[in-house]
Amino acid sequence: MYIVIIGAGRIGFGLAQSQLASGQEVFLLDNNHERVETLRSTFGSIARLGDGTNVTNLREAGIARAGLFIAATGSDAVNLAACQLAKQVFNVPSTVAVVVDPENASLFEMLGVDDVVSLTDLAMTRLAASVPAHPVVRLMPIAGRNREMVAIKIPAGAEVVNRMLSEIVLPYGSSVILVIGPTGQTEEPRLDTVLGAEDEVIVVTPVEGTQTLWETLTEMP
Amino acid sequence: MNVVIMGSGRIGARIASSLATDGHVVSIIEPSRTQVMNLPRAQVDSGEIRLVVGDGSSSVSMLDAGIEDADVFLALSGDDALNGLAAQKAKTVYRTRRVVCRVKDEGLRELYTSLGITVTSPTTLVSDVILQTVPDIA
Repeated sequence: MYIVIIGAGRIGFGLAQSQLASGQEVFLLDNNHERVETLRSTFGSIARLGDGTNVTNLREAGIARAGLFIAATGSDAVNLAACQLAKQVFNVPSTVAVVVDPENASLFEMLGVDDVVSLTDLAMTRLAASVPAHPVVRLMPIAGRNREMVAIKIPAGAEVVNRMLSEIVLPYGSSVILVIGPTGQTEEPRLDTVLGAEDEVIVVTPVEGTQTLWETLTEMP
Repeated sequence: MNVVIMGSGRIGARIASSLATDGHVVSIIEPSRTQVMNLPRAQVDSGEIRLVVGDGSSSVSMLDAGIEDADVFLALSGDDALNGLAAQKAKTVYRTRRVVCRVKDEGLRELYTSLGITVTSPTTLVSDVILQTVPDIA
């Protein structure tokens, strides 16, 4: 597939590397001369100097035949404008935007960007997992389904401790997919699975149910 | 009317001043504290123009500037993409009735127009006016 990427920073460079290695055809645009030169000296003529929000520059990058467009500059505004041009003007079938400000993620999806990757959310997920007392760790959004996979640790003394899964009312549409015990042993959940203190529960849930889910699983009597 | 303006360059500052003089409620968002030199000091000090220093396209700044009660949002910074983002946010998230977006680049002007945003291009306007003043060569 032909992939056009704007922004040749760390993300753009890494993407180019991985996609070339897997046999894809890649082209990058960046407005910084040094970054373009680094790419050209590493991978050959797969990059040029240009503005990702300029129709002429995009056309010269061959965007009209791209199967995928990825906007990975450091500016949310530029990434949105570029994806909108890719879709509206060049009919690229699939567009992806990187955002720094997490509140832009849902807005960009509403405005027609096919997939939005929020750097802050990703970092927060990793950070939440590495500090001891974490409320909800958002492991992964389920793209296009308005669902996410989350991990919640059951605190000692919570109301759900020593209760069977069949007795616990979870938000509509949520399902427990794995229970991990305090020593790391995993258990496929059944209706008669009994939750224990310090168990980590992995759940797929509608995004709007996450807060209720957390309250249910951590509430003290 | 309640008006929120993003960008206090010469154009933003002039429009803010003029609307405030006419009795409209004007807030202006400007990311750079040094740029606010363009604003008429007296109108800012008297509160006639409310100044919000912050990132023009963030909800924090927009809410602080009163976007929820705004009748008009004008995106007038010098950055086309930023204006486009802020204008679409005002329209989509805050349902602002009238939104105007300043854009220099021709391709982006067509894009935003096709997306239903009112776009104005100072470059085109000024060029047209200049050409009108010398009709014999136009």
